[in-house]
Amino acid sequence: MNVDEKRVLLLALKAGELLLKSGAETARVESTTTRICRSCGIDDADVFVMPTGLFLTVNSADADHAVQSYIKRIRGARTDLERISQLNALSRQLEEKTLTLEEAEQRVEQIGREVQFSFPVRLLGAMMIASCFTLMFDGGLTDFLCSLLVGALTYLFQMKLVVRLQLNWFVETFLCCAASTAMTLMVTRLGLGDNFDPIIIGSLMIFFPGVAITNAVRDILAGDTVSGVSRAADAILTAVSIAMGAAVVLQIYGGMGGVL
Amino acid sequence: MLLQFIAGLFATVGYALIFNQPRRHLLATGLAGAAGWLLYLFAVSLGNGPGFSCFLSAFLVTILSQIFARVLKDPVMVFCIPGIMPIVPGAGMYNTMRAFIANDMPRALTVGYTTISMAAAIALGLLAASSLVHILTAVHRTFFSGATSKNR
Repeated sequence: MNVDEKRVLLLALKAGELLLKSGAETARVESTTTRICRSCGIDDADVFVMPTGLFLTVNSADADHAVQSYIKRIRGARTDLERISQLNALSRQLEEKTLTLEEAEQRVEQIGREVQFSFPVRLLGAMMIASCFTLMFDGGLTDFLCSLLVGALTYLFQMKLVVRLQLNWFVETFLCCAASTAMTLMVTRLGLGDNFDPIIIGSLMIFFPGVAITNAVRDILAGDTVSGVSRAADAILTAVSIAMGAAVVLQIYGGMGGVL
Repeated sequence: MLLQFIAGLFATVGYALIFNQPRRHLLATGLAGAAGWLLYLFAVSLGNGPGFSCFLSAFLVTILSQIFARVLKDPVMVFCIPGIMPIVPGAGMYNTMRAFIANDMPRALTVGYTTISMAAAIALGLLAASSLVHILTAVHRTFFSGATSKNR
């Protein structure tokens, strides 16, 4: 295996890893990695992708060279649609030969570093989710304002505190939902909001596993049944940890004599 | 109605922001999400069950996402993921949990059943719309495009 082939493989592997971490569906990760390999002259590349790992094998055209395999273990995904879009565009540019290998390597590095929206913008997004769902589930104006506050605090709590503990996703979701419910109860107790139900639903919606649901369906439909089923299990477990987080706090609140 | 439309729009855009969607697609996705939410409300107001309404809504959002994906040249899921979020049954799940805490088993079971059927309906809507587009493109590719004829 010559140096160039190895570089192509590492590029494809890096792109595949980023795609998988950003929440792309299995078929897209597979097609993008093989497209990168093929467009750089490696025809006999095979890739097998699961939500937790990525296998890439290349049979060099040269008979003297051994088969090369790479395995990449994937941990900790954060949805990032911009990365998926950019990596998809990059693989197509490589295919059309409008991008050289060096440029592609730099671009992938850059895509891996950049986050499109700054933290304040994403915080605004979380506030929009919380407040709009409060409205969609019959919250009044005061509830709307409360959920803006609670949504912002919840997202801050998640991103500035819990993420740094590097817990698994379910524990993280559980903690955030518990915190958000507790904050909502405090806020309504202070008399700022009328009903706590719509406010809690609003801020819990930030954690709903929309990506897992969508990808589970798309994977199963594409024939990637193993990935699809594991993503569906992921979605169900996330939903359970959301419910548990809220339930524990409500139960304690009820036990302390709060009116549910 | 207008308020619900705006709420659906901004909720979807909120997801697009926390999921780092490419910013040129924010409006398109927001409209798809809001359209899905309005269709859901409309279907429920006509007396349909929440499951069927979710199915219709997910179907619409997926079709819109497929169209946007082709026009704006980006993967379908970039539009689809924020777009279906407004109909995800978060309230149903919360109410199920509340009923469990209140030890109201009949209510927990009925609300829980509705919630699960809504989630399944969203999956089915996604599946049906994706399959439809898949069939249409396959038919187009096989019968109406000259490119593949030499392979036969």
